[in-house]
Amino acid sequence: MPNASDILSAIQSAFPGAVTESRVESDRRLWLTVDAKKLVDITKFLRDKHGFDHYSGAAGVDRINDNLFEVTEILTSHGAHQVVVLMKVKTPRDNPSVPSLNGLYWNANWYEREAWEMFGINFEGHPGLYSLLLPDELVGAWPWRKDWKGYPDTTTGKRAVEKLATSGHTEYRFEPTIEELKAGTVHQRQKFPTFREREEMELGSDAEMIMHMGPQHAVVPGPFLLDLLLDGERVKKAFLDVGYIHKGIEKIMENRTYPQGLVYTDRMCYMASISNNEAYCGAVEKLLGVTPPERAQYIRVILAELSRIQSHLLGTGEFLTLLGSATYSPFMYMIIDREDVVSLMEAVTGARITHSFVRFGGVRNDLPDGFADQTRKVLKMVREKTTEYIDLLASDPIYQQRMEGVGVLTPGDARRLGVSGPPLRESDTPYDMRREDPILVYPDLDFNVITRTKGDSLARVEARMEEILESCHIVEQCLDQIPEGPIQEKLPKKVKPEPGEAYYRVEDPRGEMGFFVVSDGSDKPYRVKVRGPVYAYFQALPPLLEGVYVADVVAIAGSMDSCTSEVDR
Amino acid sequence: MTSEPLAVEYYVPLIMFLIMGAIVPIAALAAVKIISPLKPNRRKLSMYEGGLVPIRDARIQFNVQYYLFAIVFVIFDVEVLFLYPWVYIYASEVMQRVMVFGMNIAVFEMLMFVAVLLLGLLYAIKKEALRWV
Amino acid sequence: MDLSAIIEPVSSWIDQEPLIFALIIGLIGAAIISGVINVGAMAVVWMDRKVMGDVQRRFGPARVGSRWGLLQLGADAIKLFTKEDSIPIGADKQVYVWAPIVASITTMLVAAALPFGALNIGGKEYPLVVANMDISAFYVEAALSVMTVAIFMAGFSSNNKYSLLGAFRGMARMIAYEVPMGVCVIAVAVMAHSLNLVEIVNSQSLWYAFAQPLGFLIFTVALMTDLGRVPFDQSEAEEEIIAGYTTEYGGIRWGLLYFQEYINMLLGSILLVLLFLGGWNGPNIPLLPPISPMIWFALKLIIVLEFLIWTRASLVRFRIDQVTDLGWKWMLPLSIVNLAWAAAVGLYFA
Repeated sequence: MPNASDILSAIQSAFPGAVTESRVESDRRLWLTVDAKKLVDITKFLRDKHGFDHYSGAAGVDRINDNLFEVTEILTSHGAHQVVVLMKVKTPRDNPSVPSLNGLYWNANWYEREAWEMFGINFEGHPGLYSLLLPDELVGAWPWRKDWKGYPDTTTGKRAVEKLATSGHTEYRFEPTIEELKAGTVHQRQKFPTFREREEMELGSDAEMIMHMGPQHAVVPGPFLLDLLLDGERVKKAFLDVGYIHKGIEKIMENRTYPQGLVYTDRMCYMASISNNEAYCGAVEKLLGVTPPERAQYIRVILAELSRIQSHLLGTGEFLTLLGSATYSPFMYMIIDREDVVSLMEAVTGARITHSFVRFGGVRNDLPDGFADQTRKVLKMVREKTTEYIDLLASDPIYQQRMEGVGVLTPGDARRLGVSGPPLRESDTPYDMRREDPILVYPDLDFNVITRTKGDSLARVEARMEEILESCHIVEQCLDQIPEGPIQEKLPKKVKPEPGEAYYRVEDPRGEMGFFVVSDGSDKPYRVKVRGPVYAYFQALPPLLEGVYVADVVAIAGSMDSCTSEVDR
Repeated sequence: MTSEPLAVEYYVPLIMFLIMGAIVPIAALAAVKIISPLKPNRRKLSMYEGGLVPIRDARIQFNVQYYLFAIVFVIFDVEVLFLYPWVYIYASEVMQRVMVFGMNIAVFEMLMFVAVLLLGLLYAIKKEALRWV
Repeated sequence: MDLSAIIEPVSSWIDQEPLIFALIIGLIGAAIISGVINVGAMAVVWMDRKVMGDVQRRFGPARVGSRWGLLQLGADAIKLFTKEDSIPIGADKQVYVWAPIVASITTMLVAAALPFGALNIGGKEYPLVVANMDISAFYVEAALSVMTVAIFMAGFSSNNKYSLLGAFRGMARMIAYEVPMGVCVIAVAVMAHSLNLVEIVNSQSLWYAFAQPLGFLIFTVALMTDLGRVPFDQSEAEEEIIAGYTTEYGGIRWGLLYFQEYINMLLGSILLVLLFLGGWNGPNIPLLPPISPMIWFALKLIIVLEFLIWTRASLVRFRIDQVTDLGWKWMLPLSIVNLAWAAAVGLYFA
């Protein structure tokens, strides 16, 4: 298996002079700065010759002091090797433009769109640079830029203007007032087509039915819009719009100190708050150059796995209500089981869902007395119950009929669409961050990566249940192996990392969760970029939904176990 | 069972039931008119479609495949209609006089009738007329 | 007291004026039965919530009206009656308003011909039925499915896409199962040599559930689709199409539609008991001879209702194309097989 240095020398020999800066952080991390003109060629070379078939995201950084924008493309591989290449291209701030990688990677689309709408960086060759997360009024304001002052001007204007549309609905607009325009605090901006206008462009005759699913609909785990173009009850085309609860967490974290930023990571997805904490803290620890003591690492692993158990239980339960109805009983049973697991976590962290527990270089609390016994008891129960659920679902012919062969992701498709976590693993790709990018004490633990070959909704749910069993196994090992010792590394009172960049990823209950943190030496992060797993699910959803029945939309979207809050972070 | 060919008395109470069935909801609606508040506005009266403004009319030309269900249904429902009077006569003395293949003529004929219809059903299934749209 | 002095002139008047007598009977019957089915449906709703709560390890209604939540439905009714009554813009107003009324009329018409049990007075059984017509099995089965017309009216008039899909689904589901259901009723009639429900009950020395198990199975499934119970509730699948045909209905209009569904469930269960489970037949209970048939009848009815509720709590929903496939490709041919079986038994062994 090649390591980071091998990849670097391969690039340097193939493209002499293209790499302007390089840093081999470890065997698995390679930081490059490349010439923008060579970006596509180098990426193509990496993809075709070195197995970099997974485009993991793009992060824009506004280097206002150097009058530059940086775009960092994150590339890695589905199992050929474990190197993550973070390839940086620089572009002038007045006319920012970098080549698009959408021609090479299908899933580069959304990441580049996000970088465009947040920074205004043009991606040459991108098929449709439209807004994704921002409301229509904010498009063109480039809010992630460092010189953005808020819109409309917070000092003068009214924040939102209520307007009654002709259809009887209320529209809220953030339009600049005349005074603002006169004072020059706000500029009239170029108009970009809205989601609705783009949709209308793609639609055919009036005889087709277009049905909204969401943003307020029983099937959606949070507000997002799924517009289904229907022929009878078959979906001809699906349009997806996200951003209804965009919170701007990335920007907020730039304006908070490092420890303050931690609480925001909880709120990105309350089901996976521990792993979000972990990813953020891990990235900052890399910047600080500290390693948590071993006991703290074990505690983190225990909580991460407990968090996975509770997330899978609730996720599967919710999914079953989508498939049956709210009256389908296993949902309630799973909620009741989950309560016990959540209580265990509460005993350690003091909170039930938003834990804010992990600290830079350690954890907040030690395990309470009697935790190990109680945990073993609960895990025994969870294991018994989960086995029972697996049997129940396997013996339900209606359930099998509904799920088998529905929403099939072939291994090729799953990799191309860039999904991660259970949907990818169930498509015969054993890609698990705990194996690929091992963190904490995972290398010392013995566990299996659950995979399936079929890649349909049935496999996804079944495997999720089996992951619960596997997590139980991991926690029990941790309880056996956990050493005594300190739980917190000594750190200065004020967290001020050296200038630099770090990328750290963990296996969220839903897949690959990565944090890209840039430090400029102050006590606040210069830039935080979150690469969440559900973002990738959502991007992959519309092609999966083409040609299925309305009822299957529920089965497919539900089996992905999504969390809108994390997409709209 | 009554000896009369058509016992009208049995059907007359239905009128009362029909009226009663209408009175209950109408009375409920009238009661609501009196006791519940009524402050309509356009927003309140607009349609619900995922919380957004609906695009396009809901009453569209539905896929024609759907109407095949109705056509097949009509055929088979008529078959069932034929079966109802048949129930009354199939075991009667008259029918026992003519026997075909060991069964009386009424049973035999119905068997033929149903068999032909089942063939039709088979044809409809093979032609995918009963595929959901 | 000398009863004959009263009975004599009354019976002679009945002979003279059968139509007027029928109208009077209808009026009294309608008033009583309307009360019975409404109270009965309230009991079913309560039972639905309570049993479901038990199955799902929660309490169900437990606050209003003692810890059994007996008055919960009353509280719900107050809420529904005081809610604002609105008709959406773009709805077909006449049809929209009439849909719950049609549903209510349907259930009343079904109830008119259904025997609600029997009383045993002096060794003779008197069925409690208003219109004891000679084709009542056929009539009830037909009238039950008129409910679908109400569903379609509600769905189509709302001018809402979810409602429209719900209406189409409801219609397709009904027609897929109407034929097997009718054929099953005929199979029962073939064995009983009658289409009168009272006579069908009386002829069941052996329950038809045992005499024709296939027919019982098909009829139960078809009945569940007719009633729109899980796993056949595609017309109001809330996770797919919000509330199906009732999406645009609110307040008392929704309450009426919802309540009619429960009345329909009660009536459908009664039909199942009458056709296949021997109705009120059962050994005489000592000390309570007059109401012993009623006890048997109620017992069977509660078991059927419990079954319907239990399935709702423990099964996932079929997809609509699977439902229609099941109906046309399995239920229909099998119901004909069952009919052949019934005809053979009825002809040669009965």
